[in-house]
Amino acid sequence: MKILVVEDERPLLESVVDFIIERGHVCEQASSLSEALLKIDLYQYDLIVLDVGLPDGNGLKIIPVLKSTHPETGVLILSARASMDDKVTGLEFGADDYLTKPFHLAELNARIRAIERRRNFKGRNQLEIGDFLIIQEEHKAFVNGLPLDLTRKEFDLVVFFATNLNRVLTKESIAEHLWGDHMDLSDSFDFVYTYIKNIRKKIQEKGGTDPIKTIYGLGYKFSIE
Amino acid sequence: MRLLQKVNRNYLWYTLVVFLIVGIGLFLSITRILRNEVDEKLNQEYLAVREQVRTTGIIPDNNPMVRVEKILAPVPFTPSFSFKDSLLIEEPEQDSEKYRFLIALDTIKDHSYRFEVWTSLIQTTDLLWILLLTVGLAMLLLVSGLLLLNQRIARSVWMPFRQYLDQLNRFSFEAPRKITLSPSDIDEFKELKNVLESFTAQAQSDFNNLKEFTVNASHEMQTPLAIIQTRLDDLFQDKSLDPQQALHLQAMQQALSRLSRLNQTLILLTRIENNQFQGLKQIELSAFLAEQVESVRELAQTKSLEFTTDLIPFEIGAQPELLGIAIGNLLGNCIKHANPGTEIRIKLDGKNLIFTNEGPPVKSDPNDFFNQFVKGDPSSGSLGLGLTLVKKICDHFKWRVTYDYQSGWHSVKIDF
Repeated sequence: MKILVVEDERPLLESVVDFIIERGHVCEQASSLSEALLKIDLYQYDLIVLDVGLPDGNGLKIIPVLKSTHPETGVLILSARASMDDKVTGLEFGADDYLTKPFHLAELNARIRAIERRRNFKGRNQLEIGDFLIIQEEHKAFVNGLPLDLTRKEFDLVVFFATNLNRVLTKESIAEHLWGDHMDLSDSFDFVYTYIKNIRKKIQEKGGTDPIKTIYGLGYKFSIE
Repeated sequence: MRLLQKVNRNYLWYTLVVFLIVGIGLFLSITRILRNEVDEKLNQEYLAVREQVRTTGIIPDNNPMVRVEKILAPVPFTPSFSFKDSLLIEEPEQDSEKYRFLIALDTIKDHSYRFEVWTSLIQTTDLLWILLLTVGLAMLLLVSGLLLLNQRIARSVWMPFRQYLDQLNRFSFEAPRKITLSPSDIDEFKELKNVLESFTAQAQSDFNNLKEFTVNASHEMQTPLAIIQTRLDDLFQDKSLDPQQALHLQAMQQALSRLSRLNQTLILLTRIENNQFQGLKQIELSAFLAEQVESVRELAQTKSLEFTTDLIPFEIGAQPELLGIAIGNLLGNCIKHANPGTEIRIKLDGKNLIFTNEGPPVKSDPNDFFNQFVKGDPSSGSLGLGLTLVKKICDHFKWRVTYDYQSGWHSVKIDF
């Protein structure tokens, strides 16, 4: 995908851009509202990752302009304001999703992937990784052609892993992805461990090789190498 | 007690005391004047009778009110003169009536006489009562008139005050406009109006500043947190990390997660406190609860926990986001603190909602549970804001939330 990241904080912009490029997308950047408006006028993007608080105005102003010229472009809002009104306004403006700062890069990746999937679902709604096949629309996963009997959260977790192939995912990012921000689950890491244990067992029962590696002290990684 | 009542009560006491003093004084002085009048009359009559006896020597016997007797002069004879009161029974009516009479002993031309001159007091008593009644009536009229007048004046004079109260009651800090109170021509109220207007304007601007500050502070804090988080995520990908470095990174990640969650929760709390959630929706609570339970059922199953629900359909006005956060927190709490393999009971009837789970007794004081940063187990990694959030949300919807522990069962109850 061709993605434009609009964010005024340099260090954050760099991280996000590097990450998006690393995930195999084409990525451009803008650090102000005017720069972003100029870029969407000149080029066409598949997705815009948009910060709301820009030095020269509210990032939401871009959305109507964008929708009038390139309605097919997806918008993912990145906001520091955890306020519901912003979220509602953003989505009413026509944004596809909303991510509150601070966020995990893995979560950003999952959201980008979800928008990509929704925006062009012709054949793009399945992930093929090694022996694994994941059909998201149908909530089904297969290993060596055999269906895996996963629960809803287990499936979510497998998709999260598969989307972030070869990246180390911390227990924190997994817990937040599965249960959101507001649940105060201090021992959620035990739950994460239980889920991963169950997934591994189910894969091995079907004769698959365990793709989830435990990285000591850091977290887990989905990799088929 | 209302202001007017208080003032009137004081007025009434004062007039009552004045009445009593004036009444008693009036009674005493009128009685005295009338008595003197009667005595004067008796004396004149006596003198007339005496004169008649002296000049004619005839003892009058045609007047029942005058009795003259020739007596044997006692020795030594001293002329006397005195007034007395007496009650006489009137024959036809059997009424007793008050009389006053004069007794005099005197010698006229070497004869001794005893004079009695009587007069009825009925007219003077009547007169006294009429006088007192008239005065009393006048005073009563005066007082009731004053009270009525007072009430009427108070109503119109205090009108601006009532209006101000009314306007202040309806005043909201969030209102976009400043409060404007209706003008008054009374100096005190003019002053009050000015003070109130400047106070509310100040409070409004402080409130708005605070609100702005909260939003700004959150923004300012969230962005650096986001930078740290994304950079940390990158560091985690480094394949050359040794185990020691990995542990450092993990500790940093844990602290950062806590900080992020803390920041978000505090912002949420502030927003609820500032009443920034507006607009209620009618929510069918039993369906809402069932959905929430479904979303954590898997989580609960990792601890082999089962849910037992007893939900009666019940509609309630609330904001779905806040309600979801409150119920999510309560469910999360149950799962966190329940003994593995037990059941979590959720009961909703027409009046309240109860979450019950079996678990070990808590170490800290349950009364503090709804306070900020109080944890059931001080060593846990929990923020201690979960129940505070629940309490704030319940307060926001004007529900009452209570915690109870009985023989191994923890329960949180919400009264609607």
